[in-house]
Amino acid sequence: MKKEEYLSTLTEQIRCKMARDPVRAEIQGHIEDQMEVFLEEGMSREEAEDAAVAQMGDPVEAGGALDRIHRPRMAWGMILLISILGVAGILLQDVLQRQFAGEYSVVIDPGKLFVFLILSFCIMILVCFADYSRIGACAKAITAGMFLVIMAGMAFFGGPINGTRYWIASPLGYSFFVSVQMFTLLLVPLYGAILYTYRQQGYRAVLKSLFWMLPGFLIAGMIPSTLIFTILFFSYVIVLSAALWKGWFRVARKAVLPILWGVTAALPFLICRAVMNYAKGYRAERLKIMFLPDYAASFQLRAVQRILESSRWLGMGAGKSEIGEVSSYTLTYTIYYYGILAGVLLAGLILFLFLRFFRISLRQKNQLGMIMGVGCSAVLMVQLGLYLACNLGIVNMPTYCPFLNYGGSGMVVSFTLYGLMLSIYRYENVLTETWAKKWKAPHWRLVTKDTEAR
Amino acid sequence: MAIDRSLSSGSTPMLLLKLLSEKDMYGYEIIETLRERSQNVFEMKAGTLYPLLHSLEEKGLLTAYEREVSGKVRKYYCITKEGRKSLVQRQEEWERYSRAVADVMSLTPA
Repeated sequence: MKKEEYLSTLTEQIRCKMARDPVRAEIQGHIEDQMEVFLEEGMSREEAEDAAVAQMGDPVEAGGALDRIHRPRMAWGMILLISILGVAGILLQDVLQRQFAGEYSVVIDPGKLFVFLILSFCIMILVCFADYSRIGACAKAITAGMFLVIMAGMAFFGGPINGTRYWIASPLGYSFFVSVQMFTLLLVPLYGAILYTYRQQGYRAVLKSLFWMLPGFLIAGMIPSTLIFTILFFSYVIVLSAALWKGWFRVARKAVLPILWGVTAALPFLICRAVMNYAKGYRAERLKIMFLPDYAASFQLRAVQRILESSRWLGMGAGKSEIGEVSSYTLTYTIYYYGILAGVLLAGLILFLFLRFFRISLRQKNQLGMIMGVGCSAVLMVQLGLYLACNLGIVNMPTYCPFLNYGGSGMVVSFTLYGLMLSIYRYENVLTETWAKKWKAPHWRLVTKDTEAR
Repeated sequence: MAIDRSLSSGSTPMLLLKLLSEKDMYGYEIIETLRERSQNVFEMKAGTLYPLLHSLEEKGLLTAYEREVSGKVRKYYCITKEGRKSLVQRQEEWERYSRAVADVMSLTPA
């Protein structure tokens, strides 16, 4: 048999096409190594090739064994959980809205939400079957492209609503709105893929990593949205920490990581303190309303705390419903209406799902899959964390929460992230990336007379 | 000399892990080292080796990386911490097994 025939027969046995190329390359290398030995022994090129291939054994058997290993798999359990949470979230919002919505609350149309759910589910499945490594390979281009498109869209087509440019109205006259802020969150897994290209580099890599946070921050500044800025900020730091933790960059990890976390913790705190104490005007007001329950204007914060105080473990709480806006406080109202246990169950299930995403990401052998997975998980967890803080009366910063909020764009973006996670899981044994040799810290050798002589 | 497959198939992963615990190697190098060390008793076919290497990699006992040596890019395998633990376990099992075989075989008929 000839080399090409052997390789083709073997790789054909591997059903998942994406796994074939790396296997082919490795086995081809082996055959060529064997051929070299035979050539040195004096065989002709043809004889060497035949003999080398014969030494390989049966290609069908070998290919079949490799096929059993390099198989894609679907995370059916997670898909089921996502579907259940999606449907439950819509039904829950509908019920709570009927009970508690005040005059100023946004009216949710469950029918429309179900349509969005089906659309989002299809998108999730599509992304799941996509080759995420190709997306990762073009991460810089996609980030730059998204940045330009969003900025241009906001400048030319953006319709300011309530003074903030959240929405881009379609120029074709159709009345659908795209929520810019939600799509900005897709930059985070791309950011991870960009960091992947800087592996093995030194302190300059850290600087470049900080630079690539800018597109997201600039968009958040243009909207303007403190919420998006906050989510991006913490998500970016989580992704960068993962890259540093895994030793991707040639830097003193033990020094850089604590500095990064220190700055991350201190910066928002210091900025908020400075604005609250020294700035005048609406910004200081907004921050005070967010964090200080005793402040006169913090109606929302106090209302949430009062509702929670009056809640029971099971069943409806005793107090009055005072927050008109139901959708941003789905969890609060669930606790109020169904009891604390229901709230714990709901938050617990979503937290469980997102923690699973983290676990799957961190155990990925493929480092690109690892970092993109961490990016998705980080965005989802930060959103959930902020939502919990808001719904439990700790801060007043209403945010979108996957499953628990209305919002078509939010749903599409969340399900895109789930799809990306499912893709990373699916191709865990297929896209086996081989990393360049791990960089070890240099140890300084004493230059003695002996070593110098060498 | 070829050994009956059923004798050798169980211990092959252990042998691979042992070789890789000493040094990172690529596929061809593993087969050659195995052959030399066993005085030509173990002549593994590449078609058996690579599925086994990939399977050990999938289980997390090995990782792989690429290195360029004189123009050729080769995939080297490296043992992990879990791999070393597994090797110790397998070695203990093997020693128990071979002692038992030796004990049974040394019983002389009455």
